[in-house]
Amino acid sequence: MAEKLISVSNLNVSFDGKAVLDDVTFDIESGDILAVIGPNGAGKTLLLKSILGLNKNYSGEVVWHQRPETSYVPQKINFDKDFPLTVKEFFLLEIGGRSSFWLPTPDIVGEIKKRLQEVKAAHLINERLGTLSQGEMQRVLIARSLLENPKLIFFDEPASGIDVGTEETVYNLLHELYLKNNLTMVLVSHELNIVYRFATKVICLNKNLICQGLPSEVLNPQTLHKIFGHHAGVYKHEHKEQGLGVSD
Amino acid sequence: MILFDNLNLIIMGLALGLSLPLIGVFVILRKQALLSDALAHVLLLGIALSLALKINAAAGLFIFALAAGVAIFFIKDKSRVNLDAVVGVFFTASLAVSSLLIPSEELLETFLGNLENIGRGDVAVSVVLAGFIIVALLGRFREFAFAAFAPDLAQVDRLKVKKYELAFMLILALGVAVGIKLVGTLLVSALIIVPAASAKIFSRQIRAMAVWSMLLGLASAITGLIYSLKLATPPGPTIILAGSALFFLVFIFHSLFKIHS
Repeated sequence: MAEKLISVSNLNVSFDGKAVLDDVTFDIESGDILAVIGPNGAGKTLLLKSILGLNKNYSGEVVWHQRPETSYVPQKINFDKDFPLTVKEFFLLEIGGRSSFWLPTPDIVGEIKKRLQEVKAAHLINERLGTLSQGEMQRVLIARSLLENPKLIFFDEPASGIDVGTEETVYNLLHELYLKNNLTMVLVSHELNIVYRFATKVICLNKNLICQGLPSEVLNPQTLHKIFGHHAGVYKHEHKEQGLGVSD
Repeated sequence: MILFDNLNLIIMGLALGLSLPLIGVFVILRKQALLSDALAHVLLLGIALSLALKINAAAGLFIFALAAGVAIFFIKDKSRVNLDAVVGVFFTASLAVSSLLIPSEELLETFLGNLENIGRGDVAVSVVLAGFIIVALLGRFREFAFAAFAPDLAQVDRLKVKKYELAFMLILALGVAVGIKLVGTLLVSALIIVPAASAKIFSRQIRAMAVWSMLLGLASAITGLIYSLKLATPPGPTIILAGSALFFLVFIFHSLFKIHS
């Protein structure tokens, strides 16, 4: 029996009287790869932010039973694209002590390079953050989240803006790390085939919780229709295993 | 002899020229360039109230600066109005009250700085505060930068982001307050922003920008003081003019040669 890490109970979030999340209840257990799926505006990002304490404007309960080393990959970060901050410095904001921000040791630089290497982005280490493309930025954010060996990682659409080949690499890397480091992952994704292949649990969100359970059980045409409306359908994936997807 | 006669002014100019631009790095990082300008006008109310209540002007100004810093932080935190709008409201209201309370000749002095009766006390306060600003911002540079650049990521990394936001607001308010004596409320933001803006033009790294901001601030102060003593012009505006000249030189030089640091 896996240990409970986080319990979300009766979570409600509303803005200006309009419910964005309505009575959402589920648990995150250690070892889960929990995929959160739902259409745009379903409250997926807000759910992640509420769990992480970045949104405090909610009613209901979010209980962390343990506090493992946690990291977060947001969809994007807003910053002045002209501001001088290199990829290396962006990483140094997180790792190492105070003095190592000014004069990082070879060990720390080595760790940064290794993480960037894993997402095929080692060449970006001295680039200014503002000059990166969306896909490069996404890879940098993923590499950054792997610093300091986190045990729990929240990904908000980790593959948005990444080309298909790199996306495959990213998910394979995440899966490899998951198996090797005993990770727990919470993953917001639009990619139903990815969810189908990698997730151990799915929750479907469209303001309220529409389904939760094993991907093979809950990802059926009826549920998808409920979440995504009439555009949702089922298609056979090109890989050997059968996949599900949203087809327009 | 001219140096010795103006020792107080020179020490104050160098201390502030070195320290205030470091605040500017974070002001630019936070995209709050207008904030320091507006804050200076909010602090005008501190001077006005000190005059009206007949308390020590410097003490009144610093107490008011800290109170304004805390007030702006909390209003921003609790309301959904953006920071520029909040400070804008404070700014216009305090400017209106101050112009009613401060006699017109003194109003001009507070606008452009008043260095005629700079005392040892003023110099000591400037040096201590400049030292405090440098130690606080350089010592905790990583934390201040992380909280400003990516607050969500910093919070997940268990950095107390709100604490650093409040601390920065107080440092900015103190920096503005101490700069007002030297260059006045109208020009103090230039002392904070211009050297950092110049450094931003050619810096690729935030660390380089911080170091160059301080060096350019110091260079503006030295150049401004030299010309002010030589030409007998008021030091405040002369220092700011030197800073602006450096900005344009850096801009032209960089446009021609594209050198990065």
